[in-house]
Amino acid sequence: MKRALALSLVLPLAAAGRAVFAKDQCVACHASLEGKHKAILRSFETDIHRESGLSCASCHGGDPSKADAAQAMSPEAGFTPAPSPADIPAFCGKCHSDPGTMKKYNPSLPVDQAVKYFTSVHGQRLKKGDDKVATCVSCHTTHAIRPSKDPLSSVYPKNIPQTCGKCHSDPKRMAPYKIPSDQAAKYVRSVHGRALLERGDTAAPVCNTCHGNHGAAPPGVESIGRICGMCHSQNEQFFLSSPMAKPWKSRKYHICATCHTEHGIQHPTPELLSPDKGLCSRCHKPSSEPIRDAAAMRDKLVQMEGAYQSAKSAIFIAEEKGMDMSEARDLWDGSRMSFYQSRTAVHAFRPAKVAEIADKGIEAAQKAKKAADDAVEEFRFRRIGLGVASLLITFLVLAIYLKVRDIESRPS
Amino acid sequence: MRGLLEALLDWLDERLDLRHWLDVAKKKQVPVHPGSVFYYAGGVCVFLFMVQLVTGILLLMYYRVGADSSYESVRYISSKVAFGWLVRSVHSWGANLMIFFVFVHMFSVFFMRAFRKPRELTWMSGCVLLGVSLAFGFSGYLLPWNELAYFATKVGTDIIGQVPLAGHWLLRLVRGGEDVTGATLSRFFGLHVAVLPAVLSLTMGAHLGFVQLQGMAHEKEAKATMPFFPNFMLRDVMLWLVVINAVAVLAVFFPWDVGKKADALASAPAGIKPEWYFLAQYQFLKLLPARILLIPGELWGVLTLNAVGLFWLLTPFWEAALPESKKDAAVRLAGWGSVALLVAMTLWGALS
Repeated sequence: MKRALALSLVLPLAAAGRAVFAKDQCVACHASLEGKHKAILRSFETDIHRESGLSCASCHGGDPSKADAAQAMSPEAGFTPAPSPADIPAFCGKCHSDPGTMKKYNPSLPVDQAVKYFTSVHGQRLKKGDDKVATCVSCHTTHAIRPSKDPLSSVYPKNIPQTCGKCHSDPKRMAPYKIPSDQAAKYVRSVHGRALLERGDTAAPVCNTCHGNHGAAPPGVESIGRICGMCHSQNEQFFLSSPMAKPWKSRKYHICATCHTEHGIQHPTPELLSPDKGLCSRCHKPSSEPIRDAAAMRDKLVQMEGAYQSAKSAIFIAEEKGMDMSEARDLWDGSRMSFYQSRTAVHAFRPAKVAEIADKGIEAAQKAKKAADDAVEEFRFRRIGLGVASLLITFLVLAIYLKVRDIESRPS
Repeated sequence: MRGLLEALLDWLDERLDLRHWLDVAKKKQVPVHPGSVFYYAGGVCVFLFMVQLVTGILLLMYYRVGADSSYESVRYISSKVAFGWLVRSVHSWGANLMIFFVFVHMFSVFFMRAFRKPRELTWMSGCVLLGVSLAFGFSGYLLPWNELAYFATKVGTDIIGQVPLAGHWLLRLVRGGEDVTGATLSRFFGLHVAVLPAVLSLTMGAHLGFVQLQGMAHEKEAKATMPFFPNFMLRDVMLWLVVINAVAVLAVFFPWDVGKKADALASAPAGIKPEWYFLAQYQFLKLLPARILLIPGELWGVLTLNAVGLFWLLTPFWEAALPESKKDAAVRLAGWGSVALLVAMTLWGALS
């Protein structure tokens, strides 16, 4: 029913778009041209604007009913040629900054993109006359614009590293701005990049998640914790309540990136807290109290991980034997929760806090392992029981067989 | 010991004329021929029904019917109750083996032409027993209230809705509402533990009674026979022991999984299929196009399956109506055709 309703709304719109496009003299003329003039038509075929019934004249003005190019593209007919980079935000903003127009096509789309854009580094530089910076079309393309939920869109999460990387991975292009060009390469190998690009988890953060999209800017010292905290809220809370928060602020350290880096964030291991190879030793002296605390937290995490992994293997072995491990799995799920919580609690930099959470998880993991080991033992008992029962049954079958032979050997 | 047994037998004989019945059993003869081995299939069915009865009663001690208790109680039986896993697995494997042996018994009777006059009622009561066994399997499958059971019942009962005119009414009657819910579970439970055991016991009583009254088919023309008691009976017991041992091996090495709890809001697990004894019908329905001559394909399928069932039930009558010269060929064609079709469609359903 819902599908029928949606189709009944969309189909006439699309059909109308196609009909208009078919009679459009812009199309007729560009189709007869070669090179980029013709390519525009091909790319516009899948453009969201065309799907919504818009045509060339909707953006560029002019008179699409006139076959004569001079008349159709005359200033009198309101024709606007391809805008310069400086004019692009206003050009797109004619519709995208107008709530009245956007309501007709996509009421859920925000109308503050142009305003946000001019707060971004790109927008600020554009205002100052730098026309090499990204504008709307740099990310969304010019005539092949697709909605961000379309996997073929240049702004679909999985395509964003490549889209941003078009400029930001080009060392020549970035040189005048004195910013590195290895962010996309680092991101692809990071825990977030692998989640998005290898596992296809579109909830994983990508460039615009942290930097913003239209208001793109590098997060400052104050805001980076807030940005990471959008997803890692507990880590942020623990850190802000920790004894590290104050010195971090006074020294203007990035609260997350100082230890975890920005673009190449790797999966954290307990070794980050190692007294000799860990991150803490960068600032703290060996055998100082913070290093001892770090070592205590590392040891607890290693113990937790060991108990958790050992329970996991034991459950796997028991399940392979066909044993019901649902209860052990519930316990193991609890230990897994503690495993993640104890890693999060490290950001409080209080060994007692980590131990409090990890000990609960270790206990649950040990119980799960015991349940799994008991199940394997039970399986052995079952096999022995089956062996004894099978022997008894075989003996009985033999006895009956001999009885039958005895009966049948007697003269009737 | 022997003296004690004799005394007990005398005591019972005085009251129940037991020796007379033992004499009757001793006089009953079982034909001996290359196909005699199939005579044991019927006995195995009776034995497995007894196993189902005993294990079913034991499961009832802990099973609590309800959308919020069935799954939990089955999980409790499998993990906490002493030997609960064994009882549940024996019940599940026993059910599958029972249906398998019902099929073996039915086809052996068919190929031996043991359905011919005067055994029409024995054949027809046997067909009812097959239907009741399948209904047992279908209703029992839902009782653990797990994901697979839930969706299998949803698909299975959807087919009932295809019956012309009364389909929707029947669907609501079976499900206890529009959807598979706790109400369906209660109905299936009632059917599984009260209605079906009563129907099966009565029908089985009649079926065995007919066999006793009419004796074995081909008894008179057989070149050799053996006394039913004790010769055949002891062989029967030997096979029962082998079967129960096989069930125990299956229960220990392949215990029946509890699975995930049924969730009406979850999507059906990928590749979900019915139990093997419904796979052939399922595959047949899957092959049908959405519409044939403007009528839904599934409706054609249901009507065809019912027609085939009726044809099979009425075997003694259509076979009797055929000319003598064509009877054997017709039975061979129908029998081997059915076996080949069932096996092929079941394998196709399992592998596709």
